[in-house]
Amino acid sequence: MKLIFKRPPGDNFSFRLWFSLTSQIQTPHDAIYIWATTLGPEYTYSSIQDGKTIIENSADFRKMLIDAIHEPTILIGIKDHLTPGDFNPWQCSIPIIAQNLKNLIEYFHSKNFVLFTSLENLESYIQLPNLSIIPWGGDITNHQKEYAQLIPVIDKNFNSQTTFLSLNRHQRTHRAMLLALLYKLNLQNFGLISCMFKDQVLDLFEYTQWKTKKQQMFEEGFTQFKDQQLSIADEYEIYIGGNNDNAYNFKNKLTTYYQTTFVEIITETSYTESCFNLTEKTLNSIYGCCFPILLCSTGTVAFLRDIGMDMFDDIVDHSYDQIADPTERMYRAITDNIELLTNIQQTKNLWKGNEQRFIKNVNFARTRLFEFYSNRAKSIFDKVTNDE
Amino acid sequence: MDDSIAILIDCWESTAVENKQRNANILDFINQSSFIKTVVLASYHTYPEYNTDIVWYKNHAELFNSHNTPRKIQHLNLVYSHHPTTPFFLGKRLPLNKTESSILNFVNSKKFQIAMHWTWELEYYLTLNPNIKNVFLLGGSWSACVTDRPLGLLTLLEIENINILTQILCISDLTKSLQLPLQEPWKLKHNNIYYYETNI
Repeated sequence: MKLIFKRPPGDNFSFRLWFSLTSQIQTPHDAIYIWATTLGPEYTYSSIQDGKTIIENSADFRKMLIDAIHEPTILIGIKDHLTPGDFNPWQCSIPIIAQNLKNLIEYFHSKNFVLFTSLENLESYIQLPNLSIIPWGGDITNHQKEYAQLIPVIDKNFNSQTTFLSLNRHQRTHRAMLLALLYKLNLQNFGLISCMFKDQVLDLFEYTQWKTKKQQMFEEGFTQFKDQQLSIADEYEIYIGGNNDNAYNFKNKLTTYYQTTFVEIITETSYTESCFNLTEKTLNSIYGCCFPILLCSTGTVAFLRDIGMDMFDDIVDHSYDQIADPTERMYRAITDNIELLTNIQQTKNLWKGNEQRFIKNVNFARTRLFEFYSNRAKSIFDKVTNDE
Repeated sequence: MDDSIAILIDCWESTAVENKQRNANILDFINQSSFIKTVVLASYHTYPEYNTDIVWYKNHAELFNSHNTPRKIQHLNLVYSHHPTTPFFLGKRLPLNKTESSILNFVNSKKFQIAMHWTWELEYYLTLNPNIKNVFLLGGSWSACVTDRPLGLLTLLEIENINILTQILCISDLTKSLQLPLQEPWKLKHNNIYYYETNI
């Protein structure tokens, strides 16, 4: 029997892949699909049923998950990242939902688990003898059909006075740190910058709790950031009916920003964790046709390069990608690419000279990206089920 | 005095002078009270702390989720390992709280320090330590969290064979001013320590 506890909006690709693969297995098993968000301590959802308000929280979902485990083999599709809020590697050794899952799998040590996950490199946190991990694509696979219909932003405005785009919507520590760095390096006038949590963060290191020798530099930058107006006034309501329609947001809002910028400093959801969930933020940048400076977990650029994405290695210095220290990785990502971020005419010329490469990446994102995730998941699943 | 346990409820960071003083008083009281053998950190709505290596949470993981832990306790811990936060109040998102750093980073090698959030955790701990007879309720706010939380007064009253006490310099109430002396069924024992009289 398949149990579907909660589906996030927009996930058709990985849900169908999980459904298709788990339908092939003939031995007794439990197949469970769940949105990871429901397992995080902060999750609360209220609805009205028969005139009564029903509130569900993470403990309810953890109980549902445990109560659903009966058969010798358990196939769990867990969509989305396993870090609610921010992950602090100086204080925590494993993201909180990953820890919960690890505890669960250890508790049921006599059963075999197959975990479909949105994360790459989850093995860096969970390795157990009764667990097989199948990464089956992160949120970058959401809204597959809607994104495929989008027109990539190749009609750039070459009269633009900005080179780069930096979108910082949801409050996360690495986004606050990045903003401090951009202002400290006086880069703010070269880019379009948004931040929706400017008023919520009063003290940078009080909030981030990051450990770095560059603390003073970042604090100074953060003071400058707090004192100045941002070039983009972001809004809370960007989706129709609260349905997280990222393709709609791209078409109706982000396209305007992408038309006047040529480089994007992408601040992905994951950053301080060693496992990562690629999301629509990376996908938007591909459709927005910008040179990518990708602030995500260590090795993310290498991952995209390996699966066939053009990371513009001859133009963007991605040396930062292999640096483990979060602050140093961010610092190098920006400072190694200062010329690209500030030399407006040169960056525009580089863009013009490489326009076809952007189109190729969009084509990759429309088709081969999904083929890669699908083929890899099938291959691992076949191996896992044949080994049993 | 019999062996005692002190439960520190929602000793959050706060700019209020009363809370800072209360937290300082709590640490003094614990340090000076040799009869307090165990200190429980019951910080709700502070989940980023839960999965850290800080002593309170490390001991929680070791007690409730180790290879030696009974399976029924491990099972409960899988469901209730973290207290769900209450992020919305009257439709507005509440910011997460933080345990005040002096409390969070407090270490006294003569005490066993452990985080708990649920009644079953305390009950399990008491079964392992039957010599503990007294439970001190400390923290804030007295009329809300200290009363209503899963480790608050109303739940403790349902646990048999324990005495419930408090120390009035170690509690505070920002929503209402704390009414002192505490009214019945609280009764003064000595030196600002009150006990809850259950036989009235």
